[in-house]
This record gives sequence, structure tokens and C-alpha cells, in this order.
Amino acid sequence: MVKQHGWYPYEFQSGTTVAVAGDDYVVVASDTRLTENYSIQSRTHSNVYKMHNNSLLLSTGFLGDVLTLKKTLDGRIKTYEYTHNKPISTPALAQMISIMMYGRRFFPYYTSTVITGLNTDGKGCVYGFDPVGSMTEQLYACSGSAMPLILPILDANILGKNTSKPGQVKRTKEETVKMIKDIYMAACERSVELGDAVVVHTLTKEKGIETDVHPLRKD
Amino acid sequence: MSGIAFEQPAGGFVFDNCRRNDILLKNNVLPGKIHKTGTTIAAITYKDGVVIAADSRCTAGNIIFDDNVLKIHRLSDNIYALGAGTSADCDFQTRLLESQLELLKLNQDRQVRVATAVRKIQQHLFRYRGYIGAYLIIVGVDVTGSHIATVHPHGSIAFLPFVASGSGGYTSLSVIEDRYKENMTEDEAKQLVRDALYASTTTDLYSGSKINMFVLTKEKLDKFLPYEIVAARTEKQADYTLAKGTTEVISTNVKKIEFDIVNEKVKATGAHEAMELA
Repeated sequence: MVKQHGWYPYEFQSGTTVAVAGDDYVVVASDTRLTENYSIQSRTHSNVYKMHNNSLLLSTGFLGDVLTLKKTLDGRIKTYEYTHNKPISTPALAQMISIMMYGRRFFPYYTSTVITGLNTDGKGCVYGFDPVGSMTEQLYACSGSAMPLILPILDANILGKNTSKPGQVKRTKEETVKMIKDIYMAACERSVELGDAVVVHTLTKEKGIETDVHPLRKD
Repeated sequence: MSGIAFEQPAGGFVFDNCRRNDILLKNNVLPGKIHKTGTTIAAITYKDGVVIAADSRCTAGNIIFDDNVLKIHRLSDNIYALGAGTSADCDFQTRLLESQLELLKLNQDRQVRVATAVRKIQQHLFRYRGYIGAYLIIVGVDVTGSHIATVHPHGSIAFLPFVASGSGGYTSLSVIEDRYKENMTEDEAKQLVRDALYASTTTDLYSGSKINMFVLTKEKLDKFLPYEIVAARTEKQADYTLAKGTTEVISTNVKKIEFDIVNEKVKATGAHEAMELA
């Protein structure tokens, strides 16, 4: 008779993140609700982490692995800076994340990660990863518990997919911020794990990171 | 020629679909998700009667399926039920009980008592060994006074001065336990129940939207639908109205439907006379 083991190393703490790359900016957003099974553990926990090289790391899934990944990455970024005498660029950091995550192929970081920033030309860039480090450069990314609700809206609004006018719709960073807030408000209506507030960060070369916190439903 | 036009079902579960369901599962056709109410329901007695309240969210897994569900079911004029657990079970069982109580009331020519309703549903649920997932709170005011009873799927009941149930039941109960006292006034009772429901709609993921409240006494029934909207739909910052033609029309097919005039009827309405006078 096989004995069922009762201990499982992972937990899923929800959280949804969105990142959109622009010509000279990146807008990222995260909800601030941290859940555990049926209840709320925190209403003010953002899934966006500022890295030392001025990139923004978005990470959802198992909070233990999220924080460990961030801590390890911070160390590696500092090491890069000391050995190469310059801060690591976002595309290089993305490559580093990919290799680090595949290093734990057989006991993965249970996180959906996205790294965003401005590349060496000043353009916004967004790189998405799966839990074992498969990297894709994307125009926009959405990950987390409400991803199935939000991704189709981003597809239609940013790339005009599934409409009669396919093709990218260019937006200013203010318009993108408005759109992301509205998308979170809509997704809140249908997802139990989404709510409390959405934190929207805009990253530009001139102004650095600007933050905006928009309240959402608390129920 | 006589015969039984309608055969009464034998009662109990019908297993005719089991073979079909097995075949569907084998072919990877997923069964539909059972809708659970994932609820908060609460009821307390006060000086003149009972105050009952429920949230209005119905979830299927982690998705909010319906934001505006009424979880308060009428069993008779003086008896109401709150349902948590499987949506369909609560709806159907209370409807069944409602019709049984109506017949009983007509037969016995007296107002139905809460204890009767509770006993009937308890005995019914017990026969189904807990497979009917209805966690009910039965409340009412009858000749013997005001009563609240909680009923569990296996058929166990408890008559209590206050009770809360559902996924947010514990949260509500802690608020009520903190402030409940005997013989409260109606305003105190309504405020307590509202606070209890507010706590669980904001804490429990599977409860939310609106708080619906009923106040039931010997003389009256006050319905507050809703008593409070915990979280309203938020206003959008931009306009997302899709332009006409966003969904591509791939082909158009116009078909003339042939019809014959079978019957023609002309009916005079009052309007004719009025027109003639003018």
C-alpha cells in the first residue's frame, strides 16, 4: 500500500501582473492582493520588484520562490556590475534569468516571471519566462491568476487581434496607464483573486519610475 | 381508454446518465463545473423577530459566475431559508420544501411552524446520505416564537439564537459572537448583521458584491434588496465602445422566407371611437 505524502513544497498565492512596452517607456502593473486558499493574506503586497539596474521584475506564483529569485538576482546583478564596471542591461539580465531558472529544472522556481526595462537604445522591452526559464521577448505580457481574463483584452486593444482592423495601436504612456487600470477594473468583476488596488509603474529614461496606485474592489 | 398519463418517479437518484458520462469522460469531454455559492449567510434573533442576511456572489472555481444571486428563499409567508453550498441543491430543495409546506398549510388550516419545516428537510436530506450539498439556515416566526435553525447536508440540525454559514461563515460568526446580546433593538440587530456580512464579504474571496437583508417579525416582513452594496462596479477611464464593423463580416446570406396567409382577423379597438369624436 503506497503511503500518500502530505507535504507539498509549493503554494499558489495568486497575483496578476501586466507589462506593456512602448517606444521610449515601459508600463507595468500589479494587483496588490495576496491570497491563500480562501482568504486574503495581504491587501498591500505588490508583485513588482525594482532591481538595481533600474529594471522592474514582475513575479507571481509561490511567494517563497519569488522572493528567493529576487534576492539571488540582486546578488548576481551586483556581481556583474563589479566585474564589468557597468550596470547590466535588461536584455542581458533576461538571458541571465533564463539560465538561472533552467539551473533549477528539476525543482523549479514556481513563478511566472517577467523582466522589463529600457534596452540600450532606450526602447521599452518586456521579456516573459515560464517557471523553467523559457524566454520570449514580447511587446506586452500578462501573467498570474487572472491571465486568461486579461490577455485577450490586451490582444484586442494593443495588437487589434480578432478585430477587423489588425495591427498595432500606438499609445502614449498616459493612455496605456488608463487602459491598464480599466482592464484591471474589468477583470476584478470576474475574478475572486483580484482586487484591493492596482499599482502602475511607468519607467522612462528622463523621469525614472513613476508610481500610481489605483483602488479596486475590496470584496 | 384510461391509463396513467404521467408516471410518478420512484424517487431517489436516477443513474441513467452514468454510462453516457463515462463515455464522455473517456473522450475528454469535460463535465461542466458545479456552481457553488461560496457564500456568507447569517441570521440572528432580536427582540421582535429575526434579521437574516446573505451576500450575492456565485462562483465557479475562481471565476465569479453571477454577481447578483438571491440566496434568501421563501418557504412560506412566515418562514424563510438561506442557502449555502451547491447552488442547484439549495434552489431545488427549498422550492420542494416550499410546495410541501403550502400543501401542509392548506391541509391543516394553520400557519406552518419552523420546527415542521426543519424536521421535513432534515428527514429528506438524511435519506440522501449527505450527497445533496445544501447547507441551509431556516428562520421564521410562528405561534411558538421566533426560531433559527441550521441544517447540514447529512441531516443534522441545531436551533440557535444566531448562526452564520458558508465559506465566510466563520468571519461573520466572529463579529456576531463579539457583539451579540439578547433582546436587541431592530436597529442594533440590523447593524450587527450588516457588520458581520461586511467583514466576510471583504475577507472571504468567495463572498461579495451586495448584502441582501430581510427582517421578519410576527407583523411584518421588511425586504432590503440590497441593504448595502459592498463594492460597486467601477467607472472606466476611457471609452472602449467598439466601432461598427470591428467583428469582420465574412459572408452574408439573405433568404426569403416563404409564407402563406392562413387566417385574417380584424379587431376593433377603443381607439377608433376616440378618433371619430375628435
